[in-house]
Amino acid sequence: MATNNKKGSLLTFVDSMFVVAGEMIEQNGEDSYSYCLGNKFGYIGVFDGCGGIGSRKYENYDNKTGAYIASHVSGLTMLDWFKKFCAADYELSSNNIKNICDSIKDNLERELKIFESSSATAAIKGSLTKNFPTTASMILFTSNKTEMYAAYIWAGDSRGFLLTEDGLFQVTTDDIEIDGDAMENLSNDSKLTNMVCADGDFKLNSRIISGEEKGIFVTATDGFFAYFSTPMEFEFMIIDSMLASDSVETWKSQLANYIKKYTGDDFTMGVTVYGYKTFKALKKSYFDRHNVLYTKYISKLADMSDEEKVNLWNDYKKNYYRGD
Amino acid sequence: MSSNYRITYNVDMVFCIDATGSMGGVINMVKNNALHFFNDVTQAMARKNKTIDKLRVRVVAFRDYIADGDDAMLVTDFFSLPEQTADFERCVNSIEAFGGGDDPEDGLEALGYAIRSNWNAEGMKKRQVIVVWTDATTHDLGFGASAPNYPSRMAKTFDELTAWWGDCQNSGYINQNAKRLLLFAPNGPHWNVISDTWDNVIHFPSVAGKGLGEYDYEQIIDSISNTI
Repeated sequence: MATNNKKGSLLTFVDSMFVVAGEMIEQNGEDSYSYCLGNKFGYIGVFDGCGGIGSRKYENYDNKTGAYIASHVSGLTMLDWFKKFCAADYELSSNNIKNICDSIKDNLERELKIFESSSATAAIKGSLTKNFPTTASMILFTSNKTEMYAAYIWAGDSRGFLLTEDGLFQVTTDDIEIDGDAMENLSNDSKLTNMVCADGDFKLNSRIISGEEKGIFVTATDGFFAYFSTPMEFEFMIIDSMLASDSVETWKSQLANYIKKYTGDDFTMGVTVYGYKTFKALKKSYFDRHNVLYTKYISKLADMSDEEKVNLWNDYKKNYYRGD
Repeated sequence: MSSNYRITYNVDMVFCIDATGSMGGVINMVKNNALHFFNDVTQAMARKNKTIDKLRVRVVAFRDYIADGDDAMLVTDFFSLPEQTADFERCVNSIEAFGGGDDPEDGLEALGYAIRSNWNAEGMKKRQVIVVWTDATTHDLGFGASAPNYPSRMAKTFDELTAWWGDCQNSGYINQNAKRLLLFAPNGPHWNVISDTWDNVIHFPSVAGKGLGEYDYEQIIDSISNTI
């Protein structure tokens, strides 16, 4: 599913683009992803099939669940959509972000409906059932050679972030019934209110970020961020594993090994690094942030009560939500 | 950074079982499903690397207050599993299909008992799951109110029962995030209204008199374990 078309001008700005992914049950992971780098635009997206809502299995599709099919079809559909988007030479701007979201929604809905129409009608009813449900968290980006311009597009509770030397910034907002902050949502376990599905009854949210000369786009399913005791640990994992690596390849391995110690779910994280030129320069840029994270937050967590962790989070979150 | 931190899962389940005569052909399957739920759900969760820390189950066996008198409703406390497995099995195995009178049964009263369970409020991730097995539609609430053993604290109307279930604006007697209702029931009064209007419901419609065996049991277990 993943492609990496390494040619064209955007590549001079993008240092690396990769996905780290794993599944709890081999061959049945309900996460998916796709990514592609074109001459003018880049795209990276992750999808988390909603297993409880889409647990129905389809005999005509290798007995896979609706959740599995939805996330994988969505990943492929987005790759196809992105290639057409690049070929059409559209603009990525706040003026046409609504049109872009509408176009993506139409494509996802159309492809999922094909699977729905070719399957036996489900007798199962109720508010907790959907045909082919999945979250989606996607980042479309372009550059003017000196700074990046990115559109975060999402439905559900998979998240998009921007990591800079100032720290991690959560760009997306979870589509859940009882919306707390990122710390509260670790234990709130609230119901999804919006997700990609075959009946088309969903919306794609969007948010545009611009102006950063260098940074790291991160998009992840909840298996990557929802199993820590605090949101700070997610940022620390990314930076700590980077500093413990000597190349992008070892960074990927470090990230996978790191998250496996914590997660209880399929996990997928897409990463796009831009503006640093070399891995050595990237690491150097994050030494200070790593020190701040460790001394101010991470080193204190082990002996802290839940209340003390919340106090620490309240300090951290001013930066985490700095774009709001 | 250490990885000692672990998310805990506490699960309460209430099994509402139609024990009227029409269930005779399928009651053993329902009982069997109830008895295996603990192992099947915990194994399904273990495959996803999740462990249930505390699991409790409760049984509500229902019939018809007018037709069945003192046998209309059997309500137990929660059994902690696996510690009280033997007691739970004895309780489930004691359920026999008889009585019921006319076709609709008092399933809404059973649901009322289930919703007002003494739910476990502890744990980081909680699930409070009600499973209803029946092949019959329901009477209106209060149909059997003339029976001497009819519960005085029961919801008076369907709207009140709906309020007991709650929604995102007004929480009821069951945790809004944790609650799940699985219906194995006909697509008729009042199950169809619950299916269409209550939140957090999965409805596997059954055909009256045809049993409940048409659904893939593995899918049902997956539905539950995937929502935990």
